Amino acid sequence: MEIAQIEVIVFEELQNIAPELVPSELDRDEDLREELDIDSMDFMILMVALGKRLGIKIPDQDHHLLTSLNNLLGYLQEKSGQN
Amino acid sequence: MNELTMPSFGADMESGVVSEWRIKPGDRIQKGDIIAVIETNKGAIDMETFQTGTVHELLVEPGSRVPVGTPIATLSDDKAEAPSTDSVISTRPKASPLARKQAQVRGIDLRGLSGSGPDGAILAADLPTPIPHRPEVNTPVPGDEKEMMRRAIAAAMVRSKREIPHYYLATTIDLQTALEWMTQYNHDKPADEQLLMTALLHKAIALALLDSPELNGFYQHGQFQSADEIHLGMAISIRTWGLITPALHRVDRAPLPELMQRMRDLTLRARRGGLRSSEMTDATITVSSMGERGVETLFGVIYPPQVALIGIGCPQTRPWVVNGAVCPRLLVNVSLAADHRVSDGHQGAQFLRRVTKLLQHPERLLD
Repeated sequence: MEIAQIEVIVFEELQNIAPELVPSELDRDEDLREELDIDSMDFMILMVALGKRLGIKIPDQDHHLLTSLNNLLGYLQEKSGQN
Repeated sequence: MNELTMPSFGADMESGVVSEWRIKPGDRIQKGDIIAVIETNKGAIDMETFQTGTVHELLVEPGSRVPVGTPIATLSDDKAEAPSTDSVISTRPKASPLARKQAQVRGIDLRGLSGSGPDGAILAADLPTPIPHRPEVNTPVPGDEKEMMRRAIAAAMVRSKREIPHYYLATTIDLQTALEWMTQYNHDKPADEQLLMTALLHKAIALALLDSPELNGFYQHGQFQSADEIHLGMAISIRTWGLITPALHRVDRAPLPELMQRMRDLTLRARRGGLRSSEMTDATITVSSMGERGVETLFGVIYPPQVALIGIGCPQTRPWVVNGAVCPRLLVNVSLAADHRVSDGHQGAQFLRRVTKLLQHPERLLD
């Protein structure tokens, strides 16, 4: 899947937990939770939703890789490409 | 004929907008049915009915803003001359038809007014003099909701700080055992079946409340009434908007996986809409985990008429002494803000000690 498509899906799901976010205003290399201002509940909701939308598993062991928005997008692209 | 009125979803709610009807004349409705979507200062709420009957007439157009207590629909009672009619409408203040009509048109809440008619009934002459430029029935202005929620929070917090003599206690709780148990539990489970520490904390708080009825209930009309059930108001940030505290019902009896699922569901619905009116009105105590956004200790402001608020700080791994040795442990600061009219620090301290103990045996929280 193209990174642009994944980006659309990520921002659609982010709308559910952080409706006020403006994608173009985000620093994509900043700490993911801080930049999105999300807590562990929001993060879990996001991971469950992205796993379902993309048909992939995002194991806990990989959460430390998802430190920024760019890392998340890259990770999801790689994972969805494996299917 | 029964009336359905604009419900109040909290002491701080003055009016609401019927944004959508889910019923039409002729529909048969039962207690618990969702009959309308109400736009409030807390977002869009699904209004449930507590009455049973057949819808006779819808009195307000979608998009109309009306004050709390205003009739919005009428029901014909299936059981003609049923005595229950009286009990259903007995909470309505006695008022003459003219007074009621004028109050409705002018957007006046009859409750709280004193009447000079027979049996204290409110007459048209008892209504306050009209305030110029007062909006009567209008449609919401887009962007207005944020301001409304801010005003609602302001009203509730001013009342809290003015009326409630708060006392504050806090303690540091070792969560390491709970963390290790939870990590084991979550191992190999898909994300949507895993637990978060916040679920364990909520469950421990609910169980500890079983022995602290003086923290769980409502202070109204000069006296405290403890609640029969434990409904935790879960403080959920509406991001740039403010805060909403819908209820998680009977948490003491909820198995952890179910509680976790409900907490996720409630968080999503608080942000997207779809909260039910019962969830908005019946929390018996509030739990705020805002601490997860980085602060160590939360000093709570009680949401009236509740009498306590529990604050959960940010869990952090810190040095801690266990069996005479310093070791890294996951610690969290849990605070209690409580109403001194109802309980004393001694009782509050006992409550926090019970929460601490319960979290040292996480497996007992599971079912």
